[in-house]
Amino acid sequence: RTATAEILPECLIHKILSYLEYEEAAKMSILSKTWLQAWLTHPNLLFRLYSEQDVKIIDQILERYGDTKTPIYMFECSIYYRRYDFGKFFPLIDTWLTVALNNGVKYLAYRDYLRSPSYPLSIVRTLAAKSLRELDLEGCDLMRVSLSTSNVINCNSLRKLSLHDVHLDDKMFQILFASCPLIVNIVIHHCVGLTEIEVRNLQKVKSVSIKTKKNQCVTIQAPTLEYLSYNGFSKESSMLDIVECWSLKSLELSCERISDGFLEHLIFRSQFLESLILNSLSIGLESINLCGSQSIKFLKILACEGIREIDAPNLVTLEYMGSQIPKLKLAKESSQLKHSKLFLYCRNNILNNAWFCELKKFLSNSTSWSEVTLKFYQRNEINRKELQLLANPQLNIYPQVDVLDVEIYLTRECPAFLDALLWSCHPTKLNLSSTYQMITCFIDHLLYWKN
Amino acid sequence: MASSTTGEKKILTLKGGDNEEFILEESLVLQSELLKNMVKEERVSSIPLPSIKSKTLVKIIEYLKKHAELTPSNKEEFKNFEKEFVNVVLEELLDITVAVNYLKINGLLEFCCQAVADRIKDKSVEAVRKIFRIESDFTPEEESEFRKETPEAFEGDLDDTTN
Repeated sequence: RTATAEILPECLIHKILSYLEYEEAAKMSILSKTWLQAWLTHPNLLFRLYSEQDVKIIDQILERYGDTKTPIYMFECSIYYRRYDFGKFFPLIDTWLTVALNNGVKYLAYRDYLRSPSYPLSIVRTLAAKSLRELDLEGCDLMRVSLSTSNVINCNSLRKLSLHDVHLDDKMFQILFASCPLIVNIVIHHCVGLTEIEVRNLQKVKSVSIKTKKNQCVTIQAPTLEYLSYNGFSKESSMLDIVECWSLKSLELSCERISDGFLEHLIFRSQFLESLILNSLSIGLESINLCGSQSIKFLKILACEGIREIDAPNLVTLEYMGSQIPKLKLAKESSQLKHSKLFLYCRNNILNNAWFCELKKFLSNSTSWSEVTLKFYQRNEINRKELQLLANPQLNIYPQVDVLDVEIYLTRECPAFLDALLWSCHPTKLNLSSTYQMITCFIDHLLYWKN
Repeated sequence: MASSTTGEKKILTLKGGDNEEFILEESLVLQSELLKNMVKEERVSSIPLPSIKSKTLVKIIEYLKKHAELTPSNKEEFKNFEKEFVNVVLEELLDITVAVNYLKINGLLEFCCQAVADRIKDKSVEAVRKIFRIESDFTPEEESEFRKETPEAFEGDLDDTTN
């Protein structure tokens, strides 16, 4: 019997440890002296700081890494420790980051989830480390270390920058992005102090995700950009400008007022656009037609009432989610369409004859729907008498619905309602989530029809 | 020395630890960073790999072939192959992992390390020692110190079978 695991070089032990949970990996240090040594030089450092005791432990570990110049690949520090005088630890955190940067850290993350008070990170010093590839900051303050435009440094190694709830102003923002010209991936979520978020003059940028706060306007001019996700502050205002983004493959727009022609123009010019997600957009008085895109394969529409017509001949997946029956017209049935899903949450609708007729008409409009989900609420009003009339089918069309999922929590059972449901959707398969009474009523009713 | 060619395809010979020879297309070995550099810089036609057992080399070549045939349509099939590939006794898996690390075949290396990690997940220290056949080289004093400081490390699954 040979000690099989002793043939592993240290770098392999590091790799194996990196596939274990941190606690689990720490445990392996007791296996033998080789494994202990490997653990002590592990290049990935992930810390969660919950107490003053943790501050001491982290400090000791980083002192050792600093003294021995042990290479660091990843340094991640998450703060869950809230106290009024947390500021007294800031000099220590400075030292930790310095050790990480000096020891060649490639991936650096500092996340303060409680921010009391926010850590004043020196972005200049951080970017001066030529090895850094990814920087992920949450809840820091970049404004307390003063700087001027002469501070622009070339951090050519940086590929990804994420800022969550970070305090910085427009000038700092400009300096930051001027400093990393080769950046590929940008995340800016809910940053405070910014009024203008401008993504320009970045030759390699491929992916941008932005979530704004109030009164932040966004301009994106990036011919290389492939993935854009934008989440505005309010659907009452129009804050986004997209210029020359003709390489877009995936676009997600949420919570924004869309001006006339904006989307049409964008889709018309973006010949590679494959995935389009529209969420809670207010579309103005004119309705919108998403027509003529050969490239769109995936389309998801959530809570946007104003979209009237879709003409995308290569569409593979269509998802629609809303509270109203869509007024949507699928101009040409896409021959590729494999998945079409409709999700209606009927929160404030009056479920009468007209509603079910409208639903039936809509579902019949296109040849088939692979999945329709209807969610009904207790406060839905049901006009029982009117629904009885549906027994005489006036609409001689039959929609094709593969699977109908129904969630229904009405207080009273109502066979007429169930008839109307089946009449309007004509499903091949039905999934029902409901109360015991409702399900019993349903089964009885189906048996009644069978006999 | 120029590498020998038959038709368009360049052929290369790999020599395993027990002098067994494996003849394969040069394009296949380019997945290995180490061999790629050797072929590009030195233009050799035969590469001796004395530290790698022939049995291990057979497995790795099998992987290289499968990986070269990978297309978007047979992804699922390839995933199943990968799963089967690491489904060997630990000793063999470690041999493969060490060899792949030496040859610098990056994708496969990650997969092998993941596979090794999966075998020791949720096990107690004692069980992992048995799996890896490691004898603790700590003094009894150090050992009891660990037990006192991190009792949880000695808990967990005592079972040392990994499948």
